[in-house]
Amino acid sequence: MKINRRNFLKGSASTGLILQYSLSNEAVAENPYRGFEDLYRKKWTWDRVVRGTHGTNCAGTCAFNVYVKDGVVWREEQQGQYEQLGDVPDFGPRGCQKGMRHHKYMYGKQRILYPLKRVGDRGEGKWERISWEQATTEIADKFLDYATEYSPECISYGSGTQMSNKLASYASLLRLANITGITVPEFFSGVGDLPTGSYMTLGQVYTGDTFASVYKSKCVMIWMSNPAATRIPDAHFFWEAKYNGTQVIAVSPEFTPTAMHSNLWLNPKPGTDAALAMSMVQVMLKEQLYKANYIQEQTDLPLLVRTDTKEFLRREDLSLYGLLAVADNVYYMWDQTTNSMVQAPGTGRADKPFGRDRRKYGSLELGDIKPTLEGRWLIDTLDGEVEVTTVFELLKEECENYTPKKASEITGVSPDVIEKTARVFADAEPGMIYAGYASCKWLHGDLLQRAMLLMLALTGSTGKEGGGLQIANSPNARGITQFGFSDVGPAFRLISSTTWDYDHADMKELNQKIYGNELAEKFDRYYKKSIEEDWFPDYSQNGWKMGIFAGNNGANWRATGSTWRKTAFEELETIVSLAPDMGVTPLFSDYVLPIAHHYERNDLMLQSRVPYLQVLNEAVPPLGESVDDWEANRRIAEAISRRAKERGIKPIQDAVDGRTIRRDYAKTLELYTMGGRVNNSKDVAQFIINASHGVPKISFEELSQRGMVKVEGVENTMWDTDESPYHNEIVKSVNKKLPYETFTGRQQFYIDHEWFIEFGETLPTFKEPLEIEGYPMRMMMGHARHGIHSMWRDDSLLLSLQRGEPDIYVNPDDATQRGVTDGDLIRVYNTAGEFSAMAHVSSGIQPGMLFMYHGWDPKMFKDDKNFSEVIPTGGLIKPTSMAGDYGHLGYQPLAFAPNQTYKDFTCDFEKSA
Amino acid sequence: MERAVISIKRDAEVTSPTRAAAYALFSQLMASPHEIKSFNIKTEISFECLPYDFDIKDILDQCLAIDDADLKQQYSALFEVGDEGPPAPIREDLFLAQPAKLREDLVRFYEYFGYQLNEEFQWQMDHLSIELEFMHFLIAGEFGADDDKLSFQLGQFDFIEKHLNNWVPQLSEKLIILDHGDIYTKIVIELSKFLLHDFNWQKESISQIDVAGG
Ligand code: SF4
Repeated sequence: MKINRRNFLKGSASTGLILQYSLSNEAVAENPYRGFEDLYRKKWTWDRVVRGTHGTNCAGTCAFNVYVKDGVVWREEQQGQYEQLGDVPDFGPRGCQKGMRHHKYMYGKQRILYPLKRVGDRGEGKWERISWEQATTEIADKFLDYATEYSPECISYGSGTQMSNKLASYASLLRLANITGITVPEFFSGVGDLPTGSYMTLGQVYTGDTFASVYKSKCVMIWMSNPAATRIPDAHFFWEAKYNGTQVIAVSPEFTPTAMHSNLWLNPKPGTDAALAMSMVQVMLKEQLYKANYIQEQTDLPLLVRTDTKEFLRREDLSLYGLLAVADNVYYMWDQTTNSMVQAPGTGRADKPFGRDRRKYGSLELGDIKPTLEGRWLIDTLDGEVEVTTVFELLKEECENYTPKKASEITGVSPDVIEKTARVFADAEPGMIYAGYASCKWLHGDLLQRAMLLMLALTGSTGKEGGGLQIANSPNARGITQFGFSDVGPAFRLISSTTWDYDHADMKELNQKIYGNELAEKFDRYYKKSIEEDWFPDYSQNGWKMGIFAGNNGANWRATGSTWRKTAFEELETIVSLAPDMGVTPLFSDYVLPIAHHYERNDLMLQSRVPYLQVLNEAVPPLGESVDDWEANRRIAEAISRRAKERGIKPIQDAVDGRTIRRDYAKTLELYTMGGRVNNSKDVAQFIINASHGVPKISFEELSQRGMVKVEGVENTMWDTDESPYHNEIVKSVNKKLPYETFTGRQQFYIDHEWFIEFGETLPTFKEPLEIEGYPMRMMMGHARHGIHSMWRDDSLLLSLQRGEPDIYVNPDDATQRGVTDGDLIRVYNTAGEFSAMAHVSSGIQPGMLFMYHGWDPKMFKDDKNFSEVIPTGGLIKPTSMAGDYGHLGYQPLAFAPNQTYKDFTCDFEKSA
Repeated sequence: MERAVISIKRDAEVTSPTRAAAYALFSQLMASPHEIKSFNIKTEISFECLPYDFDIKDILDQCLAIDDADLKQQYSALFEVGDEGPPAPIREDLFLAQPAKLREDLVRFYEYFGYQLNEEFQWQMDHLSIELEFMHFLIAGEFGADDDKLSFQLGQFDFIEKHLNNWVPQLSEKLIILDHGDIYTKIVIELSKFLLHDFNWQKESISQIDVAGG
């Protein structure tokens, strides 16, 4: 007998609570109940087994079977059906302890199950449960007020990786944003993950291959990364490679689980990595361990530079024609054969200073030219006779600052170890640097990446299978953008969230307080200059009135913690969160909308490390009143349309990137659903599959059955074919000699932009990380083993595998000096703020540093203050990362923008009172 | 040893309807007012036929005097929402911090006795209102069964022992500590007392028989 519970209760109410179940003895007729053991005699069975994964930023996309009975997910198990691809270990089975725990976590107390409206003060945690209709109507009214009175630009809709990694979900946000004109902060630089050094050098940030490429490397340096803990499903490639003869070298100041398994561990002092890299470059140059042919063809090292101005020699230096044609991208090299100066191949299309067009026409092919790497020459220019030399020569000079002995004084790594490592790396064909995103999170992380790429260029490793800089890749023709723009065209605002924050939070004042007036004024001057010159957009005009945050614990990961919260976040007139779980961002919101978790939605995952398209299926209906992101946005769109009609709101004229766009908010729902053609996230997923390059054209239903399907163009472990979904420009430059998308058309290690000259950053170099005067400890952080950002961080079982609460690693000597013993609560502080956490005394930590795994939500700490209280780096906008009017340099969303950085500060600690 | 019920003490024909009604009433009172209008109920139930001394007429009258919006606000603030989960979770699994096998045990109980939830309630099979409704269901089974009342009687005893009495008294204590001064605290205190009465009464009506005759 099936009981409809709602009817029972309603029926009971009206009939005076009579007995409802008069036929209920059928079930026990055959099996009389005599004790609880009888309950367990029957074998447990499943109603269904559904394919799924966890749509978060672990980059795992592990194929799982999800076991469902009576509308409940009870367990998950690795699907384990990955085929072998070529001669490398296969990708499966995949999984981690967090994913295996999700069936429990999704029912945990942190779940947001109903639309909520704040009734107490922000952050107080007092809520009223309201209906979806009330919530979306009130949100829509605020939206319309701000959009019509100011501009839709003053409404931001930020997505975090919990959401943006799910293709259908992110596509729905893009579509809503495109239709309404609201601002979408890009999170790549916003969380300090943008490899700007890679962009400066290669004109490309997407250089990563599949994880299996690790197996093809002869020497892999795992640098500022800890894959043994953070890339659990794929870390095996490193250890399999090691057993196969690959040298695996870990570089990190603290002794990590990755270092434990590596052949060699280098532990530079925090923030000195660029000196270590430059020193290895010095050894390679001195001992001539470089691949001359490669650097002559692929890099700017043979290009000529004027020693008087420190600028490249360009055609405009040589002839009036050059000046008139604005041919500032014609560069020269010295040809050994003819002993004369020649134009460098692949340079010099006057009409297109850089970009894809040049790739179509130019070639790096040297032909008969034999570029000289070393030498100095006098040549006639419009300014008279000037001396020129090569970038290679200048690099050699620069490297003399980083002999192993000198670098050892900076880094603490022994000169012998530096030399030996440089030789091992140079000997490898190819060598790989597997760099974590942490390399982007230092103020001078770009310099480190440029130095890493130099090591790879000298050894001829970039663009080779098993080589190169492995940070990221991304689909190059994404169905999600097509979905966002379909029927309406691109009309949307993607903004640099680092500079947005600088404009909207009191970041200059923070810089003054922490780093002093001189630095604050200087950074601010360059910032303003960049805006004035129109190199970067100005966000200060329309204010910031309303923030919508989806899958995004923005108030947690922002550097500057409560400073940002107080000066920007809490200044917002309206804050809306769409989230599956409670955290500090929903906590400070005015409205919280409940969002479905990983097993309660239909969606797609596509991550470049793994050559498969993976499905998420709705194994069970969303819990409580939660809905998936598509549906949440549909409800918001419906409310905007309805209220616009009811209030008689006329269409507005909006301007995006100089174009005038008419926005009729009464039509929001109609446009959002493409006139009713798209009705749910399955429809969105199918659109994306159909529109995405390199993705097999499969029905969502079939994908749901199979779980995952291999993407197109997988011929080896790299992304090197045009058939694949991913960027392959760098491989093409190496194999097909197509110019790079840099100003010089080559791997560009010398940047002669006036700001780079001014800051002494024309070449890769080392700069001391910033510190706060009077505070001796450097605090380092990294991704955690037991959480993906803040997700799963509060799970009770996972907590029981750690210390049960946030802990911070300290060196035994530092602890003893401060009377701290393991397990004590310590107060970490500096001029920015303070927080407390349990001391985890460990000799794996260098003296003078603290280490903490990230992601712990403020609400897990004493006084709701987490580590971000002492991280005051949000206003450190590196001037050279805002340079422009220089070939490839200038604002490019998701390619060139300043990172929000997190590392350049110091602090101290003491035993908590 | 086997368990049996002393039917004269149990007097199921008389006690079951009132006990069932009492459980149903508590089930409604503990359901979310956002989903079910809890207090739109008739109050003519007489608790005189209960085999123990218990009445909640006072509380019921107080409930009926509270307007719907206040009820919703009180309920949500206690049981449904909060920055670190609700202050007093209304679901056994959550209240007891998700111990292994608890929900499986509930589902096995429900499945064994043929109690099925429709889809919207399946994920919260540990909700107090549903557990109370299951007790109502078992009592109805006891009332309606011609041959095997014992199964339903023992089922009630075990369920209350393993589940309801394992957490409702703690829930009651928690609410007293929270001291929100709301109607739900009063109801849970009464429920806790009621469960204890009912459990003790059931204990008295069940005896152990040595089947070996020793
Ligand atoms: S959380 Fe990520 S890495 Fe872990 S099992 Fe899920 S998909 Fe794999």
